[in-house]
Amino acid sequence: MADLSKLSIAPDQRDLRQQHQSIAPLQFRKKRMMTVDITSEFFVAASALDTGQLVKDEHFTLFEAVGALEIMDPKMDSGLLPSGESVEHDYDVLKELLPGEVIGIMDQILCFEMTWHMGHPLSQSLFTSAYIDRLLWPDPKTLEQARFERDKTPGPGNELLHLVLRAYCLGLIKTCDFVRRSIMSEQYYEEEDFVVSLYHRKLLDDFGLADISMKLEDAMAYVARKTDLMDLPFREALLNRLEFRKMLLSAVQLDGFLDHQRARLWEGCLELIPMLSQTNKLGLPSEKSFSIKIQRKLASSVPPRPIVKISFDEALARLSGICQNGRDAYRVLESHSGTHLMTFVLTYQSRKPQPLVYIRCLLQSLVFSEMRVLGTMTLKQLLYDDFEELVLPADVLVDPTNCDIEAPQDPRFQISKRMDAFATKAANAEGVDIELRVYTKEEPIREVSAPNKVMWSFPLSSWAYYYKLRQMEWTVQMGFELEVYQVDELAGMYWYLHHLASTRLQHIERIRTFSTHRLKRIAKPSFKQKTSFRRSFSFLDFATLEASAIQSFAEGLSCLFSFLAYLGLIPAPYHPLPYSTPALRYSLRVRPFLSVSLPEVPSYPEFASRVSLHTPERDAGDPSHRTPLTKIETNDQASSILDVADQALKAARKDWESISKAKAETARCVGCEDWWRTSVKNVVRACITANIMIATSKKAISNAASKDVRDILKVELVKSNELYHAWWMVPRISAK
Amino acid sequence: MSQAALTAPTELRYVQYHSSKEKIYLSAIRQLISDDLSEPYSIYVYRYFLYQWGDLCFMALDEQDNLIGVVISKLEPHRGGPMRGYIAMLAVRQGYRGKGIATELVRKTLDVMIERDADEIALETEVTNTAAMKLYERLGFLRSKRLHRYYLNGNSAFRFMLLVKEHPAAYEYDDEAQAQLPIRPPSA
Repeated sequence: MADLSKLSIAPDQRDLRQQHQSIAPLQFRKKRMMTVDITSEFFVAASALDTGQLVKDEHFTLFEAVGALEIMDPKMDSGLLPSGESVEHDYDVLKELLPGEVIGIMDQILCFEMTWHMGHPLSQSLFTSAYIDRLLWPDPKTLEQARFERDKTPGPGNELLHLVLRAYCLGLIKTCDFVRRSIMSEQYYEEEDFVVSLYHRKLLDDFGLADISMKLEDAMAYVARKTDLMDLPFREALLNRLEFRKMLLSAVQLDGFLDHQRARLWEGCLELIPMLSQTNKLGLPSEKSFSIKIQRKLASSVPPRPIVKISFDEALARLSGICQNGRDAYRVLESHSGTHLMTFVLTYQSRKPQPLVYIRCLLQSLVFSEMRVLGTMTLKQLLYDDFEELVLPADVLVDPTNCDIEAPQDPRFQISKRMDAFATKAANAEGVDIELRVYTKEEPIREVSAPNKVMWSFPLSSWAYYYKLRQMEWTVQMGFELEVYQVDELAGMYWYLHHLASTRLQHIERIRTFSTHRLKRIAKPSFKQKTSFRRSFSFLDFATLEASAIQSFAEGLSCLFSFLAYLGLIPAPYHPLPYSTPALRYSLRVRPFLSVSLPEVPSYPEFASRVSLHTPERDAGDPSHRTPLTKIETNDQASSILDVADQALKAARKDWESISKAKAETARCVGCEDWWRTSVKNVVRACITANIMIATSKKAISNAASKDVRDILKVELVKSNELYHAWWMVPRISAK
Repeated sequence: MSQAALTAPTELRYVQYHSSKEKIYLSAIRQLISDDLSEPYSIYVYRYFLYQWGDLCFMALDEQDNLIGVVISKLEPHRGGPMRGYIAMLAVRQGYRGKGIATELVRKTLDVMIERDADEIALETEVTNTAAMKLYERLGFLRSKRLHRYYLNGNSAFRFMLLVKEHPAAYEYDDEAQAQLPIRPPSA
């Protein structure tokens, strides 16, 4: 079952719920509302209903029904206390602490900070700390109010608590504030990834970084000074934690996040982590200072839920991940064109373990914030640069001076107007292309044999179509990674991927033809023009290589899975099942692509003819009831399909090896070259493995003589996380 | 494995639910389903399904009328589009699993949905629940989407879909966009 609590975090509902929770009791007090006992009226009304009869209006959805709570059920009723249990958490936050206890509390709240990053709510992590609770509630109006004694006059002494632990807590809360605001300013994938709810508390958002940093510095000075107070290891452990917190706070601060130097702060944090790890053993547990009872004080409709615990080692592993990824995210600023940027984002986001939400949001902000891409380019510059690289090298359409023309009769004024319309509204590309021809005086390509037949370049539509195909390929490939396809679908889905990649190949050729045609018509190309054409052709060359590599690998795997299905070693593609027909399952699978008018989704008969060899009717499950599949039978269809697979996979290996040798500039992976190379190397490995599997199968067939091939081959499917590359599901085939 | 699993269940009867049976069966249904849940559903949720779609609920009962398994579903137009059946809850008592009882319950509810003109049928299961995934895959369901961290325990789910009829292509593929209904992983 999914989470009832999630009902309360959908943004709109959350707000309503919070308002309801927090405002209602206040109003109640202020207005001295009259209360009337309606118990008897309620019973009378209820007696008109049969047991099981439902009262609901027609717009009351299941979603809302699941949110219904049952009073007096301990798992649903937030006000229900087991007998003998007190409402309040009785822990004295003012008691004197030993240095070891302070270290223990610091490390525990760091664990909670990490569980929050991992997607658990604050109510089950940080907000269960009595110390955090005391600092944040009642809402402090000044930073000075955010102290453990609150309204009481601070007594002398107890600096470890009032100076050191407080500074650390303030720093940590402020870190969370920056992190949360950073996340909320971006699109994160699913609300399940991160819980933004604060239960009507604030994370010191009114107070600045400088003040809180100063508290941390004061605390550090105190610890450094008090040489008589505690042993050196404790002092160092505390200093280390305070220093780390100060550094992390600066790394996540919002102002100036586009500064390259931020990467150094992340690096600095990373360097301090080993010390945190080594000194964790000095910490003393302080279990009593945490309680789920504190959740009752939060504006939440759900009963207290268990504290989510992780070990300090796991917390540090997460923290290291955040710091590394934070540092690495700044490498995106090295990307100097849309194509490099695209490779960076794809490669970075697919690193394993996946970067946490905060980091993904940080990358988003670096890529695009305040209407700038990577802090420097406008969106228009990025788009025009990409048009130029793909389809319009040195073309008048992407000439930046067009927008300076103010005379409507000048064709460049008209061009600028139409290009803007396309770029800002994603307007009908073909229509814009046709209009633009007039102003660019495009010369179509005429075939020598049929001069009446003209071909226009349609540059903007071409550009859009290129990315559409690319996205469709990614969508199909993500399905492999997420294990969305069942075994019997693999032959078909690799065929479809092959189909998309070959469609893209043809499209790249078309683009190349027009660019070549245009270059030929320039009598004396300038240096600038030559550079632009060179860059575009370099892109087209590499895209050709890459599409061809995907096409061949996909074709090889499609054939390999068809072969396995033919032998009955895996279920036949889209075999009939009790409640479904092959055609219906195919329709369901391609449904996401049906609204894409071009490329058209292949019809089921076409698709089926590509992926299933006419498998003889046989029962794959029960060996005693099947007709033997002998070498003679496999010689024709199965062998020939293995040959096709063999050829395709050999070509794929060659292509992928060429890709792995490409220069970073050519492969458009500046900024992420090392990760990109690792990924490509894994694909090469997958491809080599696939080639070995083919060799194994061929050898088994030729050795089979009159034996049933199914009795000599064994197939094992590999889980996506155990594959060399999650997009290439190479099965393990071995001779029995 | 418990003792009960070793002895094959004596004759089970598959009985369609009706609201008139609430007093006899509802508490047993709730008990059976909430056994595996960390957060129970309120009684309102059960009535939400059983009052509106009691005919899609089937119970497997032993000779003493003990509840051994249950399936709870609904059927209504999905966002103004196709008539969508939805298998909300499926549970079989420990010790009785692996005997095809869940499959039989699912088939019964599917049959009624199809008879009542369903266009498509959907459900979710936990990605680790291989038994349930196999059950649905054998019947013809496809995984249509992976739902990230769908369950309270942080596990992801697969949405399974079964197309009963071809839809016109114009039907928008937007059904996965919104917040999902919380539904327990069926145990097979």
